[in-house]
This record gives sequence, C-alpha cells and structure tokens, in this order.
Amino acid sequence: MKITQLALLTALMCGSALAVQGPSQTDLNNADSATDSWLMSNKGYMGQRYSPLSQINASNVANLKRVCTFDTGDDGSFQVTPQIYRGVAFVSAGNRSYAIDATTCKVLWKNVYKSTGPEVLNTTRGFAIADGVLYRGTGDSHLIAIDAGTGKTLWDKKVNDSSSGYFTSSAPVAWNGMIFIGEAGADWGVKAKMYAYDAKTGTQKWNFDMIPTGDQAGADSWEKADSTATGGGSMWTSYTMDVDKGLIYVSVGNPAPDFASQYRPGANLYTDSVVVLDAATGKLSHYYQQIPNDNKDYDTAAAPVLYDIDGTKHIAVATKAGYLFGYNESDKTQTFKVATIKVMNQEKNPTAAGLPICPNYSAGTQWSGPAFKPGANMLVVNTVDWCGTVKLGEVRLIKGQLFFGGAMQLNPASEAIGNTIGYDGATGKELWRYKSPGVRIVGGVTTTGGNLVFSGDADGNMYALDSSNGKVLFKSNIDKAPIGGGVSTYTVGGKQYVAVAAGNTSKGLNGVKNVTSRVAIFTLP
Amino acid sequence: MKVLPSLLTALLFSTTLIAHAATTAPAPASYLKAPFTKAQAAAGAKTYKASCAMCHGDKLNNGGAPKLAGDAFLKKWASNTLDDFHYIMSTTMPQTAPGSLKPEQYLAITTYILQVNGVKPGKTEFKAADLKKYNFKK
Repeated sequence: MKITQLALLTALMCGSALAVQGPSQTDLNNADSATDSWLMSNKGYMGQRYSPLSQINASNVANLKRVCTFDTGDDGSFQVTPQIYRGVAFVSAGNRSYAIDATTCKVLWKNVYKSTGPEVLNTTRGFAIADGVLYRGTGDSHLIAIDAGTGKTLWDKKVNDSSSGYFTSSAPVAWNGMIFIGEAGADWGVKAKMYAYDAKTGTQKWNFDMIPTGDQAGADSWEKADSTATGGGSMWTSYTMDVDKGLIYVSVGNPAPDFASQYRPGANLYTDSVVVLDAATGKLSHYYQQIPNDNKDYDTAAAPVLYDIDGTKHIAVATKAGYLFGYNESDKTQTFKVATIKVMNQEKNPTAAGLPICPNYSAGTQWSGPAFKPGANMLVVNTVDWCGTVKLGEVRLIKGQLFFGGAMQLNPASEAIGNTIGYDGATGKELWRYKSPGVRIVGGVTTTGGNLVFSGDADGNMYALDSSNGKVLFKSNIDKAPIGGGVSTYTVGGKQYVAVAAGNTSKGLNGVKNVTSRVAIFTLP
Repeated sequence: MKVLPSLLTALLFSTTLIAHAATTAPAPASYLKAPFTKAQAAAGAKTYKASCAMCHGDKLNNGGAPKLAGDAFLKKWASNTLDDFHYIMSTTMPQTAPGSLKPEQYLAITTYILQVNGVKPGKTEFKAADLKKYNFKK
C-alpha cells in the first residue's frame, strides 16, 4: 500500500510539475505582438492575425517544407487556426480537442466531449487559453474548461437549450478571470445573448441581449415585438478586445427568419452589427449596424480587427454581403465601405419567384475576418465572389429546425471566385488582389513581418503571397483537404514554423472528395 | 324571445360542430404505419445517393450533417409530422440548390428515410396528402 501511495504521489507531483501554468494576463495582453505563440483564434485581442516573425520571408518562403501532418481522422468541418503555446498546438474539430507537438505533430492528449443535448451544428472555431486552461464551446450549447496539460475536462456548463437551436461555435476569449462567449443559431430561430463566465468556476457573470425587448435600448427597432422571440443575432466566430479601454467587440449575425423581413419590420438591432460592450459589466458602449432589416442572410459573422493609424484606433469588419467597413473609434464614424466583390440587388426584397443576388449567403466574407499589417497600415481580406437567387417562402417555425422563411439557391460552384485582397487601412483603397477563379477562399488570412500573407483555398492549396503586391511566392497542396481554417506562425527553440488547418469547409459546397481534417506544419530546411 | 333561443341554439350548435370538427380531425398516426411502395423508396435511394449522401452519409447518419436515421433522428422529430420534416427538407436541401428537386423526388426521399428507419414498403403509394397524416412517434 505504501508503495502504491508513494507511486501515486510521485505521479501527481510529476503531473503537477508538468502542468501548464500560463498564459498569464500579461502574456495575453502581449499576444498580438508575440513571436513564440499564437494564443487566440485571431492571435491576440486586437485580432490582427499578424506575426512580426521574419525568418521565413519573401526571399526564402519558396523553400518551405512540410515537416509533419496530424490527421484527426474526422471529416466534419474544420475551421480553426492552430493555437500555439509553449511549443504545443491546440486544435478543436467537432467534439474533439487535441494537443499536439508544434514541431513534430505528435499527439500529447485528446479530449472527447460527449453531448448531452441534440447537436445543432458541431462546428468549433477554437479556444480561449488562460492560466493552464482551455475553454471552448460545443454543438449542444455548452462551455467547457479543459486542463491544457492533461486534456482532462475541468468543468462543463450548459449555456442554453440546443433543442431550440442554440449552440456555441465561437472561440471564446479570456480576460481578467472571465471567459466571453455568445450563442449561434439565428438560422434556427434563436434569440441570442453574449455572456461572461467566471474562468475558475464557470459561474455566469453577466449576459447581454443581442435582441433587445421591453425597455432595453434598441427594442423599438422591432416594430412587431412578438418577432423578437425568434429574432436571431448569432455570434459565430470569435471576439476582439481593446484591453486599454476594457471593451469587447462582438460581430452579430443575421435576423430570423432569414429571408422574410416582413415578419419582423424595423431595423432589427443588434443583428448584422458590431456591438461594443464594457467587458467588465456587459453594458452597451456603442454599436455599428451594417445592414438594417436584412433579408438575405448577410451576417456580420467574422470578428472585426482593431488597429491604430496615426494614434487613432480604428476597426474594420468584413461581411457576408461582400463589403469591408472601416470605423474610426475616436469619433465613432464610418470611414469607408467598399465592395470586395460584385454586389447586385442587395437593396431589393426577395420575391416568391426568386430575386437574383450577388453574393449568395455562402459567399462574401464568411467566418474568417481581415488581418492587418502594422507599418504598412494594410488590411488583408478573404472574400468569395459568387451569386445566387433568393426566394421568399412560407414562414413556419419548427422548434430546433431551420427558420428561413424562404430559400437561397447558389449558382454553380464553378462560378465562384476566391479572392485575397490588400486594402489601405485608412481609406479602404484596394492595393492588390489575388484571385482564384472556380475556387473559394474562406480560410483565415495571416500577415507577417517577413512581408508575407499566408492563406489557403478550398482546393487544399496553402499559399504565401508577397504582401507588397499579392504575387504568389509559395504554394503547397495539403492532400486536397479544403482549407477552411487558418495559418498560424510561431517559433519553437528559436526556429519559425507555419501550421495550417486543412479539412472540410462544407461538404455540400466543396465539390471534392471528403478529406479528413489535418494540421500540416512547415518550416525551412 | 323565441328567436333568441333558436339563435342561441344555432350558435351553440355551430360551436359544437366546430369543436366537434376540431376534436375529431384525425390525429397523426405513427410513421410506422405510413404507406409507400418499394419502387418509391428505391427511387428515393437513388436521388439520396446523388444529392444527399455526400453530407448525410451512406447510412443516413454517418456523414456529419444532421442524422436522418436512428434513435437520435426519431427523438429529434418525435413531436413533428412528416409534413414538417418534408417542409424543412424541401425548402433547405440540397444545400446549394434548395427546392431544386422535383416534388415526387422529395416525396420519394421521404419514403426512403422511412424505410431505413424500419418501415416496410407495401402496395400503396405515399402521396403528398399523406404528409400531415403521420408523425415521428412510434
């Protein structure tokens, strides 16, 4: 018995010694400029997806070699950016979470979440990481905490009722002992909220109604109060923060029913908006609405990016409607609105016979938002040029089922054109454009101090562009696995690596044989 | 005064009739009793393979997209009629071209799904008017 206890104690002590302690709040505050980590879905609080690293640069990127591949064996959607801390890459795919060695792809642990409610959609966009713990959402609308060192689940909280269409696909954000996450499910007729939870206990600290009612500010933007019960307003992807001011920026998706705007007259706040909240209290600071009374499922889905130009803070957000918006945060004005692709008939209402529109709801900028390149003051945006037809139809609410009030037909996928575009961050002026006719580009985009832009397309090509002109400098196919996730870059032992998440973006759209989700890691020989 | 009682009687009578009509509208029967032919299910299987299997899987519950067979599927739809299911399918699927299949194809896919969920085909065809007559309760 004594030997067994001693062995257990030794194991526990050993486990304790190996336990992951960070990242600390200071580490998180520095995440945007860090070179040895990629701590958040969009790297840091500002969401710039920029690494100052330059070992891999425009002059040598053509020599990149794949050093390893981690195959999850899962062919569900894979829309994460590998998140890196102390040489470990953390990725989530469906109900599974993995820790792998960020240089060898060796699996360190695997956590499998078992749903207790119906799964609406088990898309996951990654983790918040803080103080040795990973936090993520689930397809049945839970928020779970996982020990980053062992993969053991620490706590599991139900956020909302998934049988009514709620789920939690976004990558949460951690800040000062709180975890921020919102609900998705607008297309299933939910009434979404944003939440803060205590990181240690999972206790809810505050919530904010994205569909205001009663005496809440914005409630009068719903002229038929009953329609708020299914008003929508998803939070799909992740969140951006201004930690100096303690503000959190939340992209909010479309109203529901998606196409039947006559069912819900009014501007329908805070759908299709960027909502800015006081992160400590959950109180509204201000908001920018991109589309009032949307009837084409044109979510503001991807997180905005926060950046500084001449000492003034700006944000930019790209939407499914195919526009890039810029806002000046000092005077709260819109600085630009530019179409990133062909836009057509967006101002017209859907009809029963069908209204041709550009883009369709699977185009424009989907779940991956703009990156920023400091110094060059350049935004880089992925967007898909692809049209379709929207039809008005019956409005029938079936609990937990899609609540469209019509249908969207997509033009043949061969007509889709993927784009990676550089824009001036102050004016919205287009600087260069990389196009891939017939191939969608929906993955994350990353900029580096090596004057590179990394991204990938739906044919499985990871590519590096020259950030000064958009010319292709490197291209490598990741086993035909469509790239719906993003590229992260980091150093381990002083050497720069590049990791990409490739897998299924959406089976109905890919037009390619299903390939299991995988992480491929590259470096220079 | 005489008129009033007769009016009242008439009103009561008509109310009774309406109530009677409402309460005697046949409650949906179990999907296990839904009629369809082998040929319908076979046609549904063919369309399913071409338009649905890529996401929902060859076993209807192994493709990643929402399951269309098994206990989880039946539990999810337990409180709905086949008409509700058919409405969602025909207005949202196939994903890239919702509503693009012919009405008889959507009906045939419905019968194929019934077959995979344990319903035996018979000699009577499944018709659109049958959709509201059955639910997903056992």
